[in-house]
Amino acid sequence: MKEDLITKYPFIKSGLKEYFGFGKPLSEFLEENSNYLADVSRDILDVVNGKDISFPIEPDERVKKFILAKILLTFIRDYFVSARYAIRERKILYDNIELEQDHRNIMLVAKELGIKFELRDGRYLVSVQSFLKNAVVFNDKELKLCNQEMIEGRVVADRRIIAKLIREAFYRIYMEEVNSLSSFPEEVSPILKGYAEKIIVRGGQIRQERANLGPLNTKAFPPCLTMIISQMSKGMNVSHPARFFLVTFLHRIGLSNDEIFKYFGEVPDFAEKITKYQIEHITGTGRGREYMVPSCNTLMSLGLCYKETDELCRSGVINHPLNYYKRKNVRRGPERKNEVNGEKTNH
Amino acid sequence: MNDFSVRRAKYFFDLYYSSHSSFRIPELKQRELAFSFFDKTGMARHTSFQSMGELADFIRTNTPLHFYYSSAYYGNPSAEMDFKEWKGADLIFDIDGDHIPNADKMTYGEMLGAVKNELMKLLFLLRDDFRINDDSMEIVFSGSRGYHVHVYSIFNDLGSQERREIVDYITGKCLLPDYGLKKMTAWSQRIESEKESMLSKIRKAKKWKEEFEKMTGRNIPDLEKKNDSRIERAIESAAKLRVNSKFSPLIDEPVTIDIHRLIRTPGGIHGKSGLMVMDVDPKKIDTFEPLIEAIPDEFKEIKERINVIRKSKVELGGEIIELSEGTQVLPLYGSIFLVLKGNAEFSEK
Repeated sequence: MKEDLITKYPFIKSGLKEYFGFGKPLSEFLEENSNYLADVSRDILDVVNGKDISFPIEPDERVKKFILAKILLTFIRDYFVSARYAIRERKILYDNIELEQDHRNIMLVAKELGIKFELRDGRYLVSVQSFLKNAVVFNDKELKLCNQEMIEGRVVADRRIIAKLIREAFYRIYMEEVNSLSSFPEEVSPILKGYAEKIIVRGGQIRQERANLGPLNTKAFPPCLTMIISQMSKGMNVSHPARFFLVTFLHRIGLSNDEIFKYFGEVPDFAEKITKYQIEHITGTGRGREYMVPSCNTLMSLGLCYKETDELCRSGVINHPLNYYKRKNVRRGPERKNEVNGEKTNH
Repeated sequence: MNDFSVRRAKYFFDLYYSSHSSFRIPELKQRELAFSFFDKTGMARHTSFQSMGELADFIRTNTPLHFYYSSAYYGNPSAEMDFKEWKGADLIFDIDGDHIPNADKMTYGEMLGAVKNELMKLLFLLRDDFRINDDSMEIVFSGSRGYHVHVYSIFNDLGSQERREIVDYITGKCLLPDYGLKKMTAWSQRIESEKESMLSKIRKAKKWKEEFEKMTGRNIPDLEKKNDSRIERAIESAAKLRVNSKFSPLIDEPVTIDIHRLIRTPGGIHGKSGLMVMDVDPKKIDTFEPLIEAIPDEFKEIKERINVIRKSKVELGGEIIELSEGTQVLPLYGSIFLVLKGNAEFSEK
């Protein structure tokens, strides 16, 4: 396989096999490339921290680090972390496709990613299903199916659109793969565990920072959430929509799946396997998509709103439970900061 | 339905199912099947069958009132929803009388005729724009108020969001003013062609202002020339409306978007009409007469006495029979239709 091709597109299967080694045990590959593994874990941390880092130029290093990152992210199975890393790969892929001189390479990459199309008179004719699978995420009127030229039941795409479709196909497949449930050989866990833990902790912190929500503050929970937690702690059965809301909320404010899981210990119909599966489904682990926290309107229509019990909710300024949490946290924010600085202020 | 009518209707459904042992369910093993029965409330869900023979035995033993299968293919079709392992789903379109404007003022036959017009619009778009050939789709008369179109294989792995895009295409959402429809799309070409035809009529018409008003419903008092740019703009808007009405079928959108839908099984009987849920050859859809051809043979030869509870009309078998309250003897298909609609009871005498 051509070296420049594999450097630009390290996910191509024949290249992966060549650099991983046929039939090699995973632990052996990790041990052989332990120096790269350390680099990759730092790269992932840097990417999670929002740093822009460059890609290796040498094909061997590029492909092996691509493989190692994927192994580590699959071991971690954290939607937020893997999304940040996948976005980095997705971006360089888009740039490479846009600049690609050889149509055959575009055909090869597209085929590798399951995009069905043919090149005719310099234009790409993409199957409707390939177009839809990779274009719906854009939420862009220009890319609505009903706004596409079609020839013989296929969507006509130019280079820019084909690059977007390839980029999204890569991202979708990458996210599905690294977030899917995979069992690792026993001897592999000790090699990866140390790297994984650092990344998981930092991922949780960044999620909280990104949402501007600060460390977990249960006192800032909105009354609707407090009610559900209180009912569950008393061993009462709560509805599916209530559980769904609880999981989306706790996930959004940065709790890991394991931390969310602990809230379910007291419910009467507790079943460990089902609960874990449901949490993973809702938080996007193993699926590549995470659910949004329901709005106040939705909660009200589900009978889960307790606005009359809370002054802030009654004031009418809250339209989303996360806004409630944010406001309550912000109110406490300056006080905590000053406490850290050894000062006291009156607010 | 009183107890006697329930027993009698069930007996006739039994009669039908005793000679029907094959139902059109592609990839049966991967489908969830669902039933409702004469003598139980609610629906029996999450069942699956390994063979058509096993399913036929179940049907003969249990005699369902309604009989559905999942548009989805599952790894574990009989498991609870969270554990079914969704593998894909057929793309389903549902065109129903409920979506036809003023359907309540139409006869049954007129309503089904209007539904068929919408079906023909859908088939045109599927065949012409999406190039789906007839071998990849199945047209099914629902046995009551409409038609279903199943598209197999091609779109199986699409999720709801992607199916929403197909719905938006079919219903012409991009004709809305804020879409900025691109020039080379099939929709823009239809609009262009309609617009040209309308403008040509205005150019040729002696009373062109009247023609313009008729086409657009607009009156612009100071119009003096046929090439006034306001004419073209107004005609373009009117052309969009005409194209939408001519080409966009009135489909039940949530059905197409749903990737877990239960759909009536071709070969079953509709429990509110006694007519067959039947697949129709796409090449013969033009001449298909549902109110004649969907009558089960088993219901044609028997005559059955009923007590009509309220003044009713039966429009089946090529005739319309108006009935007043009291005892009547009708061909079984007419009697059972009225009983299942709640307008009559089977007579014990």
